[in-house]
Amino acid sequence: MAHDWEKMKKSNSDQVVDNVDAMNEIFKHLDAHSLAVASCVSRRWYVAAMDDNLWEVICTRHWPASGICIGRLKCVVNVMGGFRRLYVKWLHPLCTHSAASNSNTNSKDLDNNVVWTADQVHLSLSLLSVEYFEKLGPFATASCHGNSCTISRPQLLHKEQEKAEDGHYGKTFYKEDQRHPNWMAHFS
Amino acid sequence: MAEDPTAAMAKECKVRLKISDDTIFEVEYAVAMQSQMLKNALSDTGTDGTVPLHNISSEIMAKVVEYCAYHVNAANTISEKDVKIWDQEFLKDLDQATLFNLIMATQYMVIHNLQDLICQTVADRIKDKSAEEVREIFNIQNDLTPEEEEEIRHENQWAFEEEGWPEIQEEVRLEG
Repeated sequence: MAHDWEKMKKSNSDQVVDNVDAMNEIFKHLDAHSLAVASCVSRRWYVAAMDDNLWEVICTRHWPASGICIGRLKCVVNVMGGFRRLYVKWLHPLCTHSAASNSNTNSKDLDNNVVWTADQVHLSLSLLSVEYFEKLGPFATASCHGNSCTISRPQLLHKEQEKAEDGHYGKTFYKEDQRHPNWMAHFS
Repeated sequence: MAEDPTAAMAKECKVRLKISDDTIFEVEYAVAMQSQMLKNALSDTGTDGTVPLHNISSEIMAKVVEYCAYHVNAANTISEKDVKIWDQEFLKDLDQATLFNLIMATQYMVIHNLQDLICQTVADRIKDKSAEEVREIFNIQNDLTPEEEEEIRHENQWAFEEEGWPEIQEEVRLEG
């Protein structure tokens, strides 16, 4: 998708609706629902609407109260699929459920009125990382959005732990304190 | 009381802007400073020469100058509420082509507050519409194949569902 973005930017038109940069500026003012509709309009609008910086704003505009440091988190979320994935897959349904059980809020109003709680944000991030690690094969190089990163230690730990539990090793190979629950420490 | 030298320069200095049809716009220094691009250009070359702005028409330049001149004067003297009312009046009779040309001009000249205002106005026309309605409003050709359109709609199904945990598809790879 980075390839499409750069290609479309190079062929940027003088017409605003065909100019990916200009559309990106306009899309900064859209909520998640409208951004989803915009991505269905045309190829250039799809490319402009898929810019993960737009989705970062949508995710994080409601975070300030939850005390999460966005700067440190950004590179981690980008590796694990990006802010759009975080929003669509986890934040949105999680908070739609919460809102639906409390009131008659529909998904469109949700975008404008919701403030995520710290628990909702943490849970979404955890689910994103669990989903990501489940997809990793052993010793695989992960590749997201054109960036490469090697995540060997956590998956190695997981695989070795599985082997130990299966009796592959004569004794438990890893001590309790080496099973690091905080995956973020690997990226700090 | 001695006048602040910068304020004095702001009142007396005129900046000359030459636009697409070779018309010269003379604007006050403080008004020109609303544009980050002009600010940078003038800090290098000084205010003596003429700054070329070949890709901006006189109609658009007039609107930009009108906005910037008002906001320079309004900065410390007019209430935020009244400024907002003025902004809405400013936007009122602008047609879509003018709005789009203003977006391109403010991008080029780097005038953030006007760019945000116009972009918000255009964004408001996209909100709560279907993709087909948006295409009609902005006269956009749908260049997606039926398969691509189906994939993208499915990818965005979450936006149209009230509840549930929808599948997220891998991003559609578009060629060309």
